[in-house]
Amino acid sequence: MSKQPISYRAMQSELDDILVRLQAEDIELDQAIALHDKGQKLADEIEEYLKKAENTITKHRTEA
Amino acid sequence: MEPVVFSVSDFVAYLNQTLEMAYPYVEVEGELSNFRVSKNKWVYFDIKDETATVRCFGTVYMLPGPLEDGMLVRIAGSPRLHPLYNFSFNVQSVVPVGDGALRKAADLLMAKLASEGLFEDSRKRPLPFPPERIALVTAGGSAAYADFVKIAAARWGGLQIVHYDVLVQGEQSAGQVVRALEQINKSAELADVVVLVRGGGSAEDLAAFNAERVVRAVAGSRVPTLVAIGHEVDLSLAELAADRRASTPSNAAELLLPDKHAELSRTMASRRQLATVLVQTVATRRVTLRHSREQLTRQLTQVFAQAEQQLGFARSLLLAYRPLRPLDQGFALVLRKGAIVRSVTAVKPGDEIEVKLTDGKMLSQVKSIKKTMNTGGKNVETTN
Repeated sequence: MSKQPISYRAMQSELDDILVRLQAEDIELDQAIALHDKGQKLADEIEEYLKKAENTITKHRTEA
Repeated sequence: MEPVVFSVSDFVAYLNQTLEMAYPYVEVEGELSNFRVSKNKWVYFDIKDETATVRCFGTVYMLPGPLEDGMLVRIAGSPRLHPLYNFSFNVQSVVPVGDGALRKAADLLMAKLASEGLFEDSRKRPLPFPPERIALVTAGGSAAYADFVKIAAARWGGLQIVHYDVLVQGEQSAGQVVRALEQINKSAELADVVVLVRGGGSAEDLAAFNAERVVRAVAGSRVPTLVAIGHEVDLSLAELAADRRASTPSNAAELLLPDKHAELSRTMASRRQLATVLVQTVATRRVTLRHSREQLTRQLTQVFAQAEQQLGFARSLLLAYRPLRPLDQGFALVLRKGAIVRSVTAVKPGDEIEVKLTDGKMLSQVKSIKKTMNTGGKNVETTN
């Protein structure tokens, strides 16, 4: 089964974390550029997930 | 033909056999009276109407919750003649019937469970947001099922919904719901949340969700629970015991799941913020670089100024210690054939000498020589 919802939570949380780290005053420029690129890539993945993911329904029959 | 004569025991056994064949399962509706519980296990009561009374016997496990004399109930079970205690009805289930009895039963159970703290806010756990795996307990093909699944699909993706198909009304409903909750809580891969939903109906239709064992199963669930029973105005005890209550099955999906369109907007906002922060960082670094450049220029200018000052100082020192400086004060330098004349003994009359002053030189000829002698502290001149 797909584990995408966990990935979504992890991706969203990582994106929030990147934004916080990117706003640190003493950040190196190289690091800022790397974080920005990583954040944009994550945003791509989140958007792709939100646009494509579908729900799966399985039946579990309760015995009478 | 000889009449059949039974022993008492045989007669009881024969009669019970006949009763079992004739009435293996029967339902009787009437007013509850003389209700009592013995040793917290056995239940005795009578069921009656205007003209008849039947004694009943059962266990506490089949009770829907607390009951009170005067309530209208429907009992199910089988009649039996006890060898010692005469005729009684062996009860397998008791269900309050009629709005008044149902409300009374629900009120009694509510008071009992509330006193145990089952509805306390401090017991409520937060639901995972968004959940990954949902155990959906409801009747397959019901409007509640369709509404929940439809709204869930509109709001979110990637969910694993495991549907536990149960009856949501009738005698078997409470048992099926309890079993579903047990299975969910014993599952190897636990769901993030249990969603128990049912559409609207009469008080009798919704009775299972006021049954004590259902309410206890909801309250005792390891997996957090979200319950929506009936319409917005209906409030069942199962909902009170749940971690979260929703007004309708659709509302349950709305409470449980974020809206993916809102999440998309949020992601776009994060994307913009990423770019803005990077631009700001670059701008800040540019300002810092300009300041560094200016500081570098200032420091270099300062080094040059200091060097110039030191040079000026050395120059004036050199000037102060210039060998010909005495000439400025009127002294003269005497040279003969380019060599400094330090004594009158180095020249003789007629020699050509050069007398250097501060602003030029004179060519002269020695006419006579007078030597100065120091005699007894006095200078005495002698002529050669």
